[in-house]
Amino acid sequence: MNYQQVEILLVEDSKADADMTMRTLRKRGIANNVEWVKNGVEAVEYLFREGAFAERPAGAPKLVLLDLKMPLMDGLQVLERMKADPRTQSIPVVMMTSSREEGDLLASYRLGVNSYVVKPVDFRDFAEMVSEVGMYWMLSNQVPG
Amino acid sequence: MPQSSGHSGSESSVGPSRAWLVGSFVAALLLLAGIALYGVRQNQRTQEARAYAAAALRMEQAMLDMENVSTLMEVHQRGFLVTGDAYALRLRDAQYREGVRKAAALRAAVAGNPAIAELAARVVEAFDERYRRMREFSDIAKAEGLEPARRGFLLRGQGSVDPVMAHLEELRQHQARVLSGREADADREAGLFRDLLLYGNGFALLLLVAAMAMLLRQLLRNERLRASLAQASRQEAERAAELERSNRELEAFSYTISHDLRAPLRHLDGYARILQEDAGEQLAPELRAYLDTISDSSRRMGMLIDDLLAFSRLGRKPLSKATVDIGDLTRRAYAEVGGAASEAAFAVGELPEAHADPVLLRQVWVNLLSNALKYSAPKGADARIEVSGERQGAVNVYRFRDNGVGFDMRYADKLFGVFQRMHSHEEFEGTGVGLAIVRQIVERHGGRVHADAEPGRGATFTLELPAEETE
Repeated sequence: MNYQQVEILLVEDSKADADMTMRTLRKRGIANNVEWVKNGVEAVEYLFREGAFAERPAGAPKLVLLDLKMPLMDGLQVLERMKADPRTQSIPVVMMTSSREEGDLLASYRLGVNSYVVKPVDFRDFAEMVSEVGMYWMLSNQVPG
Repeated sequence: MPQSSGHSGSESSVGPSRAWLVGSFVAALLLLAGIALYGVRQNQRTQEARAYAAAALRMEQAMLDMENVSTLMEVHQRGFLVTGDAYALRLRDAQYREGVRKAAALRAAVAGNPAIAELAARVVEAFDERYRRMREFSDIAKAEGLEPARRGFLLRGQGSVDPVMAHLEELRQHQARVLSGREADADREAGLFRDLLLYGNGFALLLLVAAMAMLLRQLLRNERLRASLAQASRQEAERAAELERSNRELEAFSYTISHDLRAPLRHLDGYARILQEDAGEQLAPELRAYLDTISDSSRRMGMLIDDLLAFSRLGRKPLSKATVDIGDLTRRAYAEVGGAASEAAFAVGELPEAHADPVLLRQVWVNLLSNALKYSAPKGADARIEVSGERQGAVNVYRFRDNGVGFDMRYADKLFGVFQRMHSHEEFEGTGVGLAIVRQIVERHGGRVHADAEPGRGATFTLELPAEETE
């Protein structure tokens, strides 16, 4: 178990995408301490310190990177839970997804997503996007308390 | 009456049968009205006949009275001639006065019938004549004694009423002839009326029954037509629902493709790049080139998927038409595809406005102008791109001309197919979907697109779009 404060919660069902995201964040010096969970159920348990994460040290991540399409519980359901709860509603949530579907965009913004980006196929573009998102939300953006 | 445009067969049979229907009703009504009129006239004639019969009866009575009076006059005349009693003469004269009254009654009864009136007048004339003779003989009796008068009257019958009786008989026979003639007429008319009632009403009834049958058949046919129309619209609705369902399935399918197919491609490119970054120096140049090929191929596959999805979405998106300023659209699309950064000379002529979906039309312009830029780029500063257009009758024509590499017209039919390319990837980048999208958008607007080209001399793409709003 890691005693350093978790900076980013990465919710991603694809190991490859998670690998590439964490590598980019680490290599560009944006975040060293990224917690990776594989689906929406684990994400909710982590955020609200339930189930497998009941014993984790208190403290909320500074940013949640959320995939949309995942098994068990998808990104939209996690987003809805987070924005409905006072404990988590001010944590910035960035939706990262493979497809730019109008319906998904509308649903995400209706539920109060903070940002919505599409993962490019080109790895260089992908790395650029991940570092831009990380830079802005981790360094420039201000959150209450 | 509801009529279906799709049933020309039954439609053509509706016309004549309707004419028949109206004709039958009108004919039946006219026939019935005619019979009724004839009935009224017949009734009038019956009344006339009854009035005539009453008059005949009054005449007969007057004739009988005249007969009696005449007989009594003669009886009293004879009484006087036998007895010489003047009282008998007074009785005779009283009968005469009575006879004058009966004669008036007879005249009144035959008034209005000249033939009979003449005969009646002759009866009255004979009556007066006989009275005058009786008076003659009664005067002789007074002057010369009873004997000469008696001889003259009785022996020669000079004072007898026989002529009156003869005239009355004549009148009676004439009347009998007239009556029997009228009776025959009345019989004939009654027979005619009976036939008319029987056949006329029967025919009218037949016409009405036929018309009703026709009406009923038409009603049944309409009912069937309505039922079949209802069924057709039900089937239509089912087909629409099916189409909707298959569209939704297609939507879900393309969603899956865009999400699930792109992720592994990103991983291919990603890991190839990571290998390059982390172990590039330790690899032989040849092996590094393999990693580049993996990256390039996966990125190209990604573009193909994106273009294919865009193409499939186009066919399903409903058109939303508006008036589009094509001059403005051309300049903005050219800037969007990087025209400003190129060395090519760009010329835009006077372009007519279009009535089209602005978003889709922009896609057409972007695709055609980016092609023109791409394929004329090898000419460097000599590259020239021209957009011109004009109204030609019911269509607006737009031309995109470049002096680029062009293509062989033998392959022109493949130009607008999906994933069809005229050049290799090494020469020009691209997925081969751009012109397929152009053609699909133009055709959905009811227009046409074609190309003319020559290798090394350039290409011209010509669009024709309907100028007026068409549905």
